[in-house]
Amino acid sequence: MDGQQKLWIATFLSQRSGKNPGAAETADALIAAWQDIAAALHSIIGRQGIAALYDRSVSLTSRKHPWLAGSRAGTDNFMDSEALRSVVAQQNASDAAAGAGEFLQTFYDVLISLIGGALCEQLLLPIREAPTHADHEIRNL
Amino acid sequence: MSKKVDIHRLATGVPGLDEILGGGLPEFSFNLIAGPPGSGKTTLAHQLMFALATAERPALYFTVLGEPPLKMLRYQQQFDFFDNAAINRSIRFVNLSDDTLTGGLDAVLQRIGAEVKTHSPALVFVDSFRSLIAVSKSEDGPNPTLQQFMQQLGMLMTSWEATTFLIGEYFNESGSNPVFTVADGLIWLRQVVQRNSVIRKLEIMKMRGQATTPGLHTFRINNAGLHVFAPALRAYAPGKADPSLTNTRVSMGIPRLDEMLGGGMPSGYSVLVAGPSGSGKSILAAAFLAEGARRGETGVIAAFEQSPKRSRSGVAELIDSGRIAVVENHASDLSIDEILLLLLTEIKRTNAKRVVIDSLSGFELAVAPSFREDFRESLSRMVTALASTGATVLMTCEMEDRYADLRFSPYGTAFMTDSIIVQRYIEVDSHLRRLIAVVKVRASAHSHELREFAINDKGIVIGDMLRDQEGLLGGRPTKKRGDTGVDPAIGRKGA
Repeated sequence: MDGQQKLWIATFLSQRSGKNPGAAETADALIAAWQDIAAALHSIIGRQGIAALYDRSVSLTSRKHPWLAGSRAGTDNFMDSEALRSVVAQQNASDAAAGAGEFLQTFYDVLISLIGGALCEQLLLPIREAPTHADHEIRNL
Repeated sequence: MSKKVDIHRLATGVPGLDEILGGGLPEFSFNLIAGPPGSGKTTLAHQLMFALATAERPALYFTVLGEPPLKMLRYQQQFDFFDNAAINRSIRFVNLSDDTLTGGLDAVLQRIGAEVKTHSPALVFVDSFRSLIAVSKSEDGPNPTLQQFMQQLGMLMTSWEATTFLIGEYFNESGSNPVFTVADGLIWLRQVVQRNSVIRKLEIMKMRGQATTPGLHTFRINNAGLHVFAPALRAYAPGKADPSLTNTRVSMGIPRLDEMLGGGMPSGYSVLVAGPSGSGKSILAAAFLAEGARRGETGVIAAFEQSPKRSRSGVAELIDSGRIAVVENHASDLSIDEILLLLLTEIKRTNAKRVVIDSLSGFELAVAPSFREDFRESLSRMVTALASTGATVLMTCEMEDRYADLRFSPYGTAFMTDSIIVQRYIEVDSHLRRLIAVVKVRASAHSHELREFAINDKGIVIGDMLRDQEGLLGGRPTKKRGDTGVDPAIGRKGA
């Protein structure tokens, strides 16, 4: 994992949450980012594969941010993004930003540990190259 | 209007496979890659896909309920052929596990159809197809629509001009199976475990529209993927015999041996040098190669006993200088075809005129146990293939001295070679002494003498017949009356 990759994850989230977001904005941004990532991977690893990675990432992140533990996927591998949004939105702004950022980073790290950085980058290339809402705003200025 | 359809054949990118297939994979064919777990099915599928897929000829790889896709990607990317940059460009992976679990075969067929219509792939892979069948049986016994599913899938893929591969775990090919019936091509992978060796074998059980090479063909999987060892007689296309070789003789590098052979070994002949341990077979082989190097000819040595790089007979220097190429392998799971391919590749690469196999005894130990049953037949095939290169081939063979009979090879291979040189020990005056004789040179006059030879720091020195002795082949000769027994060539007095 190089600095560029860490920076990308942080930027990926911040582009969606804007400057100085509150917990609710962070929660919305996290769900938007997560849905983009899940969409990029869904075709390849399926819903179950994504749910398993999500669960593992929540488990690892909740060691430092125990409040995330409540958003684990159910036994039917159903991932409730509303539950994730809700649990993040209930934190203070600082904890929400730290927890959300760390969750995405952990997910990314787990994926890299399984398939390597190069393939991970390649699979997520569509969302890295896709214009974000923030990009649109910048272009429209 | 009577012009027949021209079937385009795709180069698979798997070394040796196109030769066995009869020129490549027929485009738009519907194929099954079958075999037990761990036999290399998914690796073969990926290797084919990465070799064939391009932006103009994209591939779709459907994963079902077999190996989890993340694990498959984790392991497949270890192979050299795996190109990250091709993913989501010329190659797309599509997971069908949700469709399989929720909707069964109908949902799977619909999803495959939708993806095929969206991406118009030229290549489609379904891995593992076997798990689809398991799903179809899980409800109320065997699913009657499996055959329909197969026919619809086959029709869909053919109509969309997609060359298709179903990858499935099958343990045996017996019994009727709709998959086998519908498939145009059936590539079966096997692995045979015997003692501590694993031999992988591939068989093209069916390939509509073309003649394939029948039988089981060994293959190996390494970092580059699969390498199939096609039978050498097909793989090596011998050129026209070099007219300059006709009736020419090759010096063995041992002057009096050339004389015994009737003026050297006829060029392009195969010669067996048989003798007991330590009798000087490898030294004779080294002299043969060194003589070639001296005359500007390159050589190849396949060593299965001592490493020729540690040889003190001058071969090591010739190897270092590139005048002799080495095929050296001490693995215990080689197939004859693999060794032969290595040898033929080196002969072709170096344009070698002289080839040494040292020794057949070591070679027999190097091949996997499962090949030893057919060793004699395989050896015959190897001699024929090597002879087709035009090189003069020398093979050594360790053979215990048996004084009750005269044998030249433990494999009954003597008839295969054009020439035989035999070395033996005899006891004279409580000393071991060595004899050499030319037993056979096909279609050529040669000496029938048993001559004594010695080995000194310059190599083999052949002396005269032991005229004062008789009963040499019995191992313990007796002295004739009235003979001094002094041999001027090797400077030793006989008993």
